[in-house]
Amino acid sequence: MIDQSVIQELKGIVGEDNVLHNKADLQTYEYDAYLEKSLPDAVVFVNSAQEVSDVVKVANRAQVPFVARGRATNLSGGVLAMRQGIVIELARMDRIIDIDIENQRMIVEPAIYNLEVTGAIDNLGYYYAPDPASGKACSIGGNVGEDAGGPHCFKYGVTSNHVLGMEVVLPDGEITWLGGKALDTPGLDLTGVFVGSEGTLGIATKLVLRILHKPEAVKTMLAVYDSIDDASSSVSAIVSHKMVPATLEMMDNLVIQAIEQSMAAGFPLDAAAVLLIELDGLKDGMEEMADKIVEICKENNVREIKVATCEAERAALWKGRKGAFGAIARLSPNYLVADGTVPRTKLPETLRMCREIGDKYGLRVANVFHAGDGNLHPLILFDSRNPEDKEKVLKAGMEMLQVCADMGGTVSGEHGVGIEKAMAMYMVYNEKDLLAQEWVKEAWDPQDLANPGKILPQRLIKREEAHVS
Amino acid sequence: MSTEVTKIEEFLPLYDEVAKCGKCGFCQPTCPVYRATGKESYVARGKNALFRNLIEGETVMEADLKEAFENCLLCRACTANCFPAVKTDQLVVAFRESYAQRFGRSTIQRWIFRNFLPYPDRMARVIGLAWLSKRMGMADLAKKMGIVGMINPKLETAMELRDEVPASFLRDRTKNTDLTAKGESKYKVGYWVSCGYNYMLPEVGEATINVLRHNGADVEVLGNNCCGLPVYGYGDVEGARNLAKKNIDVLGDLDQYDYIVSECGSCSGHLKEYAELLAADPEYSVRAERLLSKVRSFSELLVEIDAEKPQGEIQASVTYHDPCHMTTRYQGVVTQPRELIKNVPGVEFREMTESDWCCGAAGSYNIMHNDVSMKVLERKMGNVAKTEAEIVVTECPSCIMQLSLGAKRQGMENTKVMNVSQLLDESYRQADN
Amino acid sequence: MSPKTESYTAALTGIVGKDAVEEKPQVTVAGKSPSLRVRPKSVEEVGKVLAFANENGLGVIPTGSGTKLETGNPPEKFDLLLDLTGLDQIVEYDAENLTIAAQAGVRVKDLVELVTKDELFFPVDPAFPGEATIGGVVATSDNGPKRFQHGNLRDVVLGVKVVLPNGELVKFGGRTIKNVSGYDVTKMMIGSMGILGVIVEATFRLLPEPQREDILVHAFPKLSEVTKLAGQVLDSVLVPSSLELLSPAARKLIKGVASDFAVGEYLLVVGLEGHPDAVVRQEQDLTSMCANLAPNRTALVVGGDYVAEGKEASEREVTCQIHDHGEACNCETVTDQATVDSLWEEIYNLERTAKEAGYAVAAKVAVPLAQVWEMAAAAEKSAAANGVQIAYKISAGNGLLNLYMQGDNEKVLAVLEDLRTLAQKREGSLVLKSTPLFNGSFEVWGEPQGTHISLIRATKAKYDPNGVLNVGRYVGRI
Ligand SMILES: Cc1cc2nc3c(=O)[nH]c(=O)nc-3n(C[C@H](O)[C@H](O)[C@H](O)COP(=O)(O)OP(=O)(O)OC[C@H]3O[C@@H](n4cnc5c(N)ncnc54)[C@H](O)[C@@H]3O)c2cc1C
Ligand code: SF4
Ligand code: SF4
Repeated sequence: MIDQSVIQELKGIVGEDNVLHNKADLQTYEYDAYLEKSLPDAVVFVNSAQEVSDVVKVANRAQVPFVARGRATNLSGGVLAMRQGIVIELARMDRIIDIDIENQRMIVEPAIYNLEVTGAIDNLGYYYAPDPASGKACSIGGNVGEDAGGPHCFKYGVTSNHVLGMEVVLPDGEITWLGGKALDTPGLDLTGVFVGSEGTLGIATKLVLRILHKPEAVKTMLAVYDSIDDASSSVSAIVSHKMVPATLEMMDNLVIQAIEQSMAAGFPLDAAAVLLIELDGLKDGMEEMADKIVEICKENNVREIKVATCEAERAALWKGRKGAFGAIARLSPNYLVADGTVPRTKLPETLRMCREIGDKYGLRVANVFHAGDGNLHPLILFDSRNPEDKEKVLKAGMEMLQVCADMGGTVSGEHGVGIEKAMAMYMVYNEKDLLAQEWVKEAWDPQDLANPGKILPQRLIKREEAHVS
Repeated sequence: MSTEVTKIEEFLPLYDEVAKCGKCGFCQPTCPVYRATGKESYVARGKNALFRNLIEGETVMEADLKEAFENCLLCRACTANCFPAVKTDQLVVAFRESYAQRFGRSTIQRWIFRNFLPYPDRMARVIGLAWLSKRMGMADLAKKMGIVGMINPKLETAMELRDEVPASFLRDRTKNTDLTAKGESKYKVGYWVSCGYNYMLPEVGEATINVLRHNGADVEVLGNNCCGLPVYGYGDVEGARNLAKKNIDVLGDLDQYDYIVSECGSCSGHLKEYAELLAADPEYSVRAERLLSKVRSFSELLVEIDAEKPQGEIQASVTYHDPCHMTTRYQGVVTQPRELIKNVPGVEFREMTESDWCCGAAGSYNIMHNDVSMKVLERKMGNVAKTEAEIVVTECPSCIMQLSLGAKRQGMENTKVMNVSQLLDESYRQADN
Repeated sequence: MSPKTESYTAALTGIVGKDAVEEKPQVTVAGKSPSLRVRPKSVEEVGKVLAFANENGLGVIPTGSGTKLETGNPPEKFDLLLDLTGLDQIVEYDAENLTIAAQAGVRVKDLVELVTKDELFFPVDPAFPGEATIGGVVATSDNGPKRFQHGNLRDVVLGVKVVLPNGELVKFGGRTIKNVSGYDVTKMMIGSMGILGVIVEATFRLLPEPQREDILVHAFPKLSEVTKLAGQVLDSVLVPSSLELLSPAARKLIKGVASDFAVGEYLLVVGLEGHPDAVVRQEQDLTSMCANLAPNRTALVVGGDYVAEGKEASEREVTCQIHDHGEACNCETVTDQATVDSLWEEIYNLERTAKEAGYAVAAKVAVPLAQVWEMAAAAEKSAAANGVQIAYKISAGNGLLNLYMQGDNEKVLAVLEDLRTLAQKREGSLVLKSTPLFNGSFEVWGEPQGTHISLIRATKAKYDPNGVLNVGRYVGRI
């Protein structure tokens, strides 16, 4: 519990109304989209980098930990206040600072929704490439925290490839800039380290984004399969035929069922799997590439392949894909996503093994994922009202990550480590590797106040220790 | 504050509903209250978390929780964007009901709900008094009476807005006028008198009746009470049921009408939900179903009966604001009003972004939580302003008054706010002249 | 030779063998020479050498083939040159999954040859590809024109293995395209100029070889016209893989196909890759965009395999092959891949050619895209005012200006100061790439703008607490 005097100091900075500390309020800040809870001591609404800095300085003086909160949609426990302390609520810092078409950059505050970035430049013919399925509900700051990816990242790269600089409040409260609109800032690529650091190295208060000109043409196809293996082989075959589609997304039958119940996107209910393939770029040659893809899919026993003929059809297909996680709620109230990544050719085998793990525990597993990147998302379904199920699910999730690691992959492709996968880090790194990672944290945050207890297994705060209500 | 944890038994039936919430956060971006404040307890996810905690005994029913559940417009934008479609508005009403039962409503509120709303005569008298005081330059006094806002929350706004006080209520105005169809009589239409139009904007009702008559309707002004929506919103579900039953009784034999129509989206929307509200009552639920088959919102009816295309030219740019209760989240009358507007010669229709976002009026919300309501309204007016339309059309008295207030506050003096029926009426009249 | 050095020699010989230790090598870095060059042949040996250096407080500078050894401030201490060319193994080549892991000493050219056999493409095109090694390229984050389309090293390196100054081998990242497991130390290692550890292995993402690769060359009499053109191209749907501009002086340094082309003018060099139809379409669009801004000039298209049927690939086709038959145009086409490659080669080696031609100082300016033209204009102006000769190359898609200068030291310094001031005003930077003349009188990296120097210092202290690697050479003399 933090001192009343600290609360008073915080109120002095942001105003009486912008500090929450009664239990009812706090209980709405004890969760994110992961499955655990931890109750913070206070929530502070900030409105500027200066306020963030002042709040962080108070936290330093009082030696109270703090955590930056975007829109709390992360799936790995990233914003849970594991050692209580202060939640720095960024929700109101959601402004656009600069749209600089000439330099193909945009500067935004962290809490702006991912989709609203593109929304602001769409009419100028530009867009922001990283497109997590949660784009409507997650913030750019959170994307930076987790180094979020999305379907189009197969061709265009993930958040870290598109965030070129930032204003940050460091863990000691100092405000500084890393990187900027220009490339190749002399010195270590601190922007690169910050992206994906899950709020453990400080709080970004402005972000410099690379924005891209919209492609001239887009072609979206839905390939329908009677077997998951055929779908997976098509993915490898497309890539080995020298094509780099903008997206290669896969959904299995259970996911198709859920989507169709939720929003009728037009996926055939009896398909074992569908692939959502999109080409983008210049219109010249696109037809031929599309034909080639159809041919490859046919060689791999596709049942049917549909090409979207208009923007509305395309939108419907994407709505299905983007709504997939949410739609799972139609099948079961809760799910755990094992966000492992494997080399593409290992997909069929990995999927099979994940299914077996599910069977072993008697749990349903639905798959919707970025096949082009080899980034799996087995969704393990359960009802969090049943604690036994939850334990089983956590175990099954770990086993699936182990499979990914064994296949030469890794344990998190885009959702971050948080508390969820901290122990899984041992599957891909040894203690020396992890110590060398910990030096980063020590260099930036010697007091261990910025979102403590995350990412590194040696620093993990176990949930039994954490849970306070 | 009690430290003993008591599970809230009456919420158990909603456990399955609230357990569907996977905390994905997709309800955030479209919740007007959340967008205005950024507060998690105001968005569906936060309310669901608290509600679930109440069921699971992780928290207790206490005053601190009230704020979370008070700050909701019942606009259902969350549900519309929620894949498992968690019915957060139902949880909110359940909470309000349960809270009031435990801690009581303010006596005055209860007194009004039970002693005024079901009695149109008493309502008319009090509100008449309030208008009178305004006419006599004592608006403040009327406001200070507080009671006005509670009887009908819109009245306060209306009193602020209207320079000219309505000379008389709609009900009185229609008493000795001709209500029969102009030309051939094709339908018998029961005109539902919404409180908002009756007490505050009677001229809208007159326009509506005119348009109906123009299209072959013999109009009968119904003797209804308040539809009960405001009472429901306060969580007085029992009170709302009573009003619903009383109204069903007042309407009597429904076969005498081809349609029952209201140009208040909230009234028409709520009437359509009587059946669900009264589902547990074997007798009234059947009658409510019957009512459902007769009720139409104004725009819905006009398109359904293929209303005569207006001929009078109105040279203006027009945008449309969807009242919550007209959207797909409630009765789903969305294309019809647009079609009617576009049919008016000379009108240039401009769609606004977020046209179906709540304007922040929401029953008493703009009185009880004025700050937040005004922020919600600001966002709305920003979108209106972007269209640069001269006229904002809608189909709800609350929205009309809230939007007019917004226009005034934002210095958009030249922006007119009106009901769909008024726009049509004006065009018909011009053609007649 | 001091007894101390002798004991070092003995110890290191014990680790790597006699033939891998060279005393008093002919290498200088900003006037300093090391006492020993050590060339380990395995990662374990690197570990042992570093552990030894760490224990004995020796100053170590790791190097590949030494093409960028000059970049950086003068070293504070320099005892060992750690030659990594002995680590020359391809560790894991997974053509199917489009990844390759190679040791630090592998030359870029060899790697490119290897993957080209499988019709794959290595998306990194650094300077001096014939000599540059993987380790050096990653440590300096050096990349060329095609970076515009394929990104920089931070966008294509999936993981690295690093020997820390304490001799431990650690790995960061992995070999999958997406990876957010833990801190992205890989990014920090890229471009770290060897101050944190010795990169002994890197894993890269590969791409399918483009179906066709062409270069379009067009001359412009004035800088302002190219400026306009670049703006138009960047704000269009076209997707060139590179967009380079050579100043008239730089153009003079280029040999081969473009050498006798439009002498005295600015030369725009546009790389185009992808589906043949898309390449031709872009050539058509670009030639007309160029012709609008700079009329009556010939567009030279250096192209891959699209020799018209029945014709031999020839030195230079006089007729145009990109426009429809009968359409009037000013295009010429050259049609063999070797010519494409050699033109790129000329551009990659420009820094050396310039040096050989007397441009002793090389600097790199990085600014927001659209500001690069202002920088070029300012460079011309300042050079003229100071009587300094300059040649330069602009990477328009990346906002980079590579500047080669010759003249009086002081005058050159004056130009550099001017440009640095302006670059920093534009939120950019100027880095000196070769330093023979100043010996520390000009801050190589500049006062770091947009980088938190104390964080870099703290990081260095964690990874290299005893100060062994490249001491004093980095930003802020770290
Ligand atoms: C239905 C659903 C679908 C999803 N789909 C995808 C997907 O396709 N791809 C994908 O990558 N993810 C996906 N996610 C996960 C999630 O949306 C992303 O991780 C997202 O980036 C989180 O953003 P947020 O604003 O919610 O951040 P939060 O959850 O609030 O925060 C995430 C982390 O970032 C830190 N952080 C937040 N703001 C800042 C800041 N300003 N400075 C420093 N640190 C900060 C936090 O401390 C925390 O550690 C999905 C989630 C859901 C629920
Ligand atoms: S959108 Fe629905 S499931 Fe998601 S957090 Fe909101 S209420 Fe819960
Ligand atoms: S009903 Fe409207 S105001 Fe209430 S929580 Fe849902 S979206 Fe928000």
